[in-house]
Amino acid sequence: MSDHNNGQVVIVGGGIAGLATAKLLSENGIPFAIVERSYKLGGHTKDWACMATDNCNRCHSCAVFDYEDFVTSSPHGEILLRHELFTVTRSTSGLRSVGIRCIDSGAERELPATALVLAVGFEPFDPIEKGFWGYGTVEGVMTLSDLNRLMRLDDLNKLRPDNGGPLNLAFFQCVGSRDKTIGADYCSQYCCAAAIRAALRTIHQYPESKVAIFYIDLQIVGKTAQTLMDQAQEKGVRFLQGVPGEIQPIEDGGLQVIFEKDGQNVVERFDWIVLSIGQRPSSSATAIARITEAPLNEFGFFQTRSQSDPVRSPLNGVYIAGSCSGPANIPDVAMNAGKVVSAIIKDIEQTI
Amino acid sequence: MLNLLKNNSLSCTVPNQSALVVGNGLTASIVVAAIKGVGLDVTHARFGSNSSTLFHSCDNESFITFLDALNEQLPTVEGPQWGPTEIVPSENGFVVTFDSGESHEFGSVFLAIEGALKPAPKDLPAEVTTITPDRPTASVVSSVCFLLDYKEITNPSIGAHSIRVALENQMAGGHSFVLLRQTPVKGLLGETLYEAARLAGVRFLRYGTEPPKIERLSTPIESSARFKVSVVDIIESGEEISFDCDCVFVGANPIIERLPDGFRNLLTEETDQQGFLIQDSVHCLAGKSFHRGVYCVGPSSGCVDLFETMMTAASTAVDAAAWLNFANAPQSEEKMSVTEQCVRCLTCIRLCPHSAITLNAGASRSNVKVSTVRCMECGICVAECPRTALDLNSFLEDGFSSLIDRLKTETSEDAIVVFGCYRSAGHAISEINLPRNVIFFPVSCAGRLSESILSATLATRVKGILILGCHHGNCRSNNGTDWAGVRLANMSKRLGSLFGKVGAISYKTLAPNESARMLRLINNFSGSVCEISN
Repeated sequence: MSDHNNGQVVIVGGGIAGLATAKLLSENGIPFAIVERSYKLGGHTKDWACMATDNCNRCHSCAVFDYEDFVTSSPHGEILLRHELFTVTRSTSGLRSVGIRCIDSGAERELPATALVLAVGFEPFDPIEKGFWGYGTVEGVMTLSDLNRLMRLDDLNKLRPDNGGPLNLAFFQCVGSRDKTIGADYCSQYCCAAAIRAALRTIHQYPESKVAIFYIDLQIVGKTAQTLMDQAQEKGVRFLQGVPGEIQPIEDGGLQVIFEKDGQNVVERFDWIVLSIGQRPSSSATAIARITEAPLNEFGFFQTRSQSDPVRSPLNGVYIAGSCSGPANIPDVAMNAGKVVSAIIKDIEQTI
Repeated sequence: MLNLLKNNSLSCTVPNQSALVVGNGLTASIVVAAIKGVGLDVTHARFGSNSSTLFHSCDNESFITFLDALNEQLPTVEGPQWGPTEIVPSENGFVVTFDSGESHEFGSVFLAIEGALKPAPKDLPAEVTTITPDRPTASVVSSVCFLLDYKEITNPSIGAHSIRVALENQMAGGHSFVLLRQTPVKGLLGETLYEAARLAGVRFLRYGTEPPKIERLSTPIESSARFKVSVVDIIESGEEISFDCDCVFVGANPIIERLPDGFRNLLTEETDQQGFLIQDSVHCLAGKSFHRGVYCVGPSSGCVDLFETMMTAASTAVDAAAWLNFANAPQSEEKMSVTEQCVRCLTCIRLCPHSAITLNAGASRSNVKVSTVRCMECGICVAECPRTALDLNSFLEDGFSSLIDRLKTETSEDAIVVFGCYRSAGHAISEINLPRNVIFFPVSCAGRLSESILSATLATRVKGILILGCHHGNCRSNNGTDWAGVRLANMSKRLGSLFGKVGAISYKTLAPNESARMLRLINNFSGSVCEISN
């Protein structure tokens, strides 16, 4: 490594991917700088609710606090909130430095950079985009993010009917995922487990709740998944294959859906319908791609070299961390960050 | 800073700066390469079968290229040939004893043994074989049927592999059928693969609660169809579809092979119902165990995906490098103090969830020694020490004493004390405004609150105590939060007679992102305590 750039790794994005990367860099004695557009670190995960019932259900939303604690107290790093990337200077072998700008003051600064990690995250799918399901117009239709916000604010009681009766809600999976018509021809990876956790969390708080999950294919992996499924079945969560295409508001304020079961059309009423929205490429991906020249793939996520090299951009010195290379859940992001740092260490060792 | 990194590099000879990899086969090779890749010394102890149960979704050619690249990086490693029988945490590493009786010290240990697949279900014809990472030979172009989700949901890596092989067979001129309940579309390209297979003519049939019927056809001619498959397709027709095919493969999930004894003892609480090891720990890094420096990669954690295993190997290797950096760096301060009151009753050694305490061997009446790198400052030992010989240097007992002194002169009629773990409640509190009657006191872990602290606090003028620990299963110190519950239950039995404050003490669990819930818990508690006393 050359002296002029001080071996610093610049991370664009202070969400969980950026923080996890920074933590591992710092622990390995490599200096880092996090460039984050917003006023706070933690990204989407910071707004997510804890899904514990009688015990932790491994949603890992608390991990972001552990990472943030570590990173903000690290002697190896600098955190630049309200800053954005605007230029990249390359040398013959790789990177030299990046230019960043303060969003509020416009002040510019040059950061030496031996490596650039893009960790700009994802954009939650906006169901208004598709126009289906009446999100934004029909009362009672919300997204998984909305439900999380209610849980985070401890406002789940707002969903209870006025007469104090049982809470009656349904989850619609694959909203904005596995949908070719919007260019999201992929599974968003996190939502099946997230919906099941949210169902369990709801039933934990209001045990008389009735919860149904409409799905296309359940994509749950690993041992946590089996535990979740067992719990869900025990608590009476209904799993119904096939996502209804339409939600109709009815006179009593409820929502009516029609679905097929055993060859018959079934009409059922729910109080609330939660759309499990997928992950779309970050809104800043295109701009960052233009500045850095790091290519995007056919879905709009950052391209990586290959399946066995899923963290290096084809561009030397640029690494892709977290969900900006494709949809991911929190443990996947944490693991991916480890791979990013291992690639950086390997590449540094080779250039010394 | 980078010099630090360099010093830990290949040439180091300090024993606890090197990693031990236990296992045979592809997983172990991947892990060894990953550890070498971050510049650590590695010893490879061969243990277990040489076969591989890692599924991959790349074509044969690029897989061979990958293996060649891996082999090029692979160092020739020499090491003990047998499994470790005992792994004992030392001050900043692990002392590993092997079958041969030899003992060595390592800074970090990786379990990377291969797994096995369950046998094909017994109710299927004996000729039905399980789906393995190997592909049927390309020369056999025939009609092939893959049966997924039979009895239990097939691991998505195995499912995706089946779709890939079905597609290859279809492209080569054969006929492929995939029978399933849930289409595996794992990964960014899972959907693309599924669609490519459908477009190429692979027949996907989705069955419901009624499982497909597979019959062995008894035909005298070898070249003709050998199986008759009948399945009720619940999506497209709803009717039973029957077809003949040459071979049937069933998706069987992995099972764990026998673990080396040393790991079994070390990781007792880290297996799930099926016996798989840590994959999803409180540390939120796949493969990272509760013990710092101990990792588990590949099939023994239930992962049978090649690329996921590579990913886990790389990230755990980085974490191991970080751990070794930390464990071998000079530590400036002792985290705990031990006084002469210690009578070596070993309570602390027995209870420490981090294996941080060892006996100070040698002297006739020496006390215990606390490893600065292992200690996480939970204070469970401090709370349970029968001689009060221990104290945490950054969360001193004196802090509690001064709190209690202050509470003795507390003037507010309805004051309550909230003891909260700094990791959960300590964060959550920053987002809320506490009611005026609440005194919040952050603790290193709910497990630090001894019965004597709780009793002394309750004996002051406060109306009640609320303990906020982390959720069960999400405690950095494993059972620290549960200790609070246990002590509370013990105390509750005696409380009425002791202080006349029934219900004046309560224990709840919390996460850092539950500030709103924290406020509700405090208000509810405050309300109930005041109600009782009125």
